[in-house]
Amino acid sequence: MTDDVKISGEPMNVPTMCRFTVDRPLYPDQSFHFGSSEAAEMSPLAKRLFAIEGVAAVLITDNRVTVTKHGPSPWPEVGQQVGTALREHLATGDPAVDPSLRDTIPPVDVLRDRVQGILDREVNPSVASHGGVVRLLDVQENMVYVQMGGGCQGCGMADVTLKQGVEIAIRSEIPEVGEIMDTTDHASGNNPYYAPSKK
Amino acid sequence: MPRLLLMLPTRTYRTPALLAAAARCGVELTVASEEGSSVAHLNPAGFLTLPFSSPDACAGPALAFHDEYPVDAVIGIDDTVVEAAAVVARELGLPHNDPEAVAVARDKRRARERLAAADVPCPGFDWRRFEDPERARPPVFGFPAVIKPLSLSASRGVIRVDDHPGMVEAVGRLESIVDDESGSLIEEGFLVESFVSGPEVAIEGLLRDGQLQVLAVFDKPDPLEGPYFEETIYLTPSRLPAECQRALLESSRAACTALGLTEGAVHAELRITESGPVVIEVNPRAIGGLCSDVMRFGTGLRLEDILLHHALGDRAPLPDRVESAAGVLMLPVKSGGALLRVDGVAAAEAVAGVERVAITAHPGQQLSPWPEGGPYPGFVFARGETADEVERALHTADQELTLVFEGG
Repeated sequence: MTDDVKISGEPMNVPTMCRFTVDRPLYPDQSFHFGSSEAAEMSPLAKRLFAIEGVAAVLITDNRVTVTKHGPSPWPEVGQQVGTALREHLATGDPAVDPSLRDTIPPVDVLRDRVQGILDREVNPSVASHGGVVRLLDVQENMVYVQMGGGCQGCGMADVTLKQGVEIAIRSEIPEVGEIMDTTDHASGNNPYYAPSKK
Repeated sequence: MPRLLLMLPTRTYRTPALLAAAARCGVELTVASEEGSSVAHLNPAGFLTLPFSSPDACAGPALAFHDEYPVDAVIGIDDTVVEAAAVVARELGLPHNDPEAVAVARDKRRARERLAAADVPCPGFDWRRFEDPERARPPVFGFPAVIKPLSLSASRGVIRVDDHPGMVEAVGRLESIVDDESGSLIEEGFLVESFVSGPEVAIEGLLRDGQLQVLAVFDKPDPLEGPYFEETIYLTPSRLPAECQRALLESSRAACTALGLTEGAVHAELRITESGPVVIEVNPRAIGGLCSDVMRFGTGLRLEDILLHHALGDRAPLPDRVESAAGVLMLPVKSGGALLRVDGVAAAEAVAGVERVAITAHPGQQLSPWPEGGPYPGFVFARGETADEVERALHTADQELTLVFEGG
């Protein structure tokens, strides 16, 4: 029954990352980030993905898998292998993540405090120089919801700031964090630090 | 994994498209901008600051960065960056345009001189300084004529004049526009050109080792007869006869050769006259704004994919443009002021054939009609079976959209 599994790949703004969406749940309403093959011991799906050459990190969220890769293999080649691994996993009927692994996630309050600490310490003092702010809206399980405001909202470089800066800071300190979602309505930003205007 | 140095002005529209293409290419990415990122300390390999307005001064910092994080490819986006990108690529030993050729192409006066010297058909022209007491004298080629600044893009400051009083008024207006434009460093004068009547087209191309390959030919169906030349609709594929398109390509090739351009994106604009194509300008950059999103190649590649692969040294045959017709509308600015909102987006998106509406101006942003011009308020994209169908969809969507200004 896995022959008809539909999988689509979507590049992320960070060149080393690609998100794969499957037409059925993998890890319903939950999310887990694996920063290394060692950390993936309790995830049958992540173990398969780490077996692909160059895969450096895996984020499993509901019906999506975000893969970070290093190495020379181009995404079309790696993507095919990811698709095969996803189909093989679904054919086993195993859970994507061992339920007991969730016990290792820090409590939401702890995660929230740690992410807030990074924003307060590493991020907001810096983006404040551009009149910007990155707010922590919520943490659910290990999924982090942020919102960019002030000079960041609608800024031409907001994507770069979030993906190349903020995400890297959070993940390097808290590898247990799952997906980081930008909930900002950038179109409504009325004072972007860099308003797009040039050809 | 190769490292790509993406030279992006902070105010470009193109950041998301280019970052996504870099992701698809599977490269390590460094974003260079003219101003420092506030979060650069979080990812030192991911950011670089370069003084784009002084291209030669970019070489030192780029070489120092390259020593620590070796760069395998350089790509410069937008008019303000292409010369600096050429300098940096040259210093790093990577494929590049001659920086001098890029500087000439960006300067409409010097570009005209090169084209004329090479017998490439272009409008008759004259160059004048703003402080010249006789600056508004009638041109030797007579009226109608067009005056234009030397480096502004998007037809900003371009005005048709039909007689001497009109010329006096238009030159004064152009001077004000140029005075208001910070950063336009070569605007010590302006160009007076003979007005070339006829349909205008744009050619999007890629130069590889001096050979121009056409990626798309765009018709501009809305008449561009003046007095101002705000661009609205680009449609592809062109509805022009194949023979005419071949002539456009040959003229574009001749222009690139005359200017000395050899590598990377080319955006050329030409008019079609009874005696053949006339080159209006050739820019060593890709199409502006969000317009690149109108093109798809092969199995769905974007223009940015093509450009990044080229910068990375890929010389495989270029994929064909996807067959379906497509077009983009740059939302016209009919009156100016501080933008409050844009009404009718949902209705415009519901028009058959419209793919999406992207509003790029932010609330409170000052917008001006042409010839002053400025940022585009937004873009509408449409696809369909035929170019006619796409054009109708874009016009219908345009009628649904209203820019609402504060106090208006």
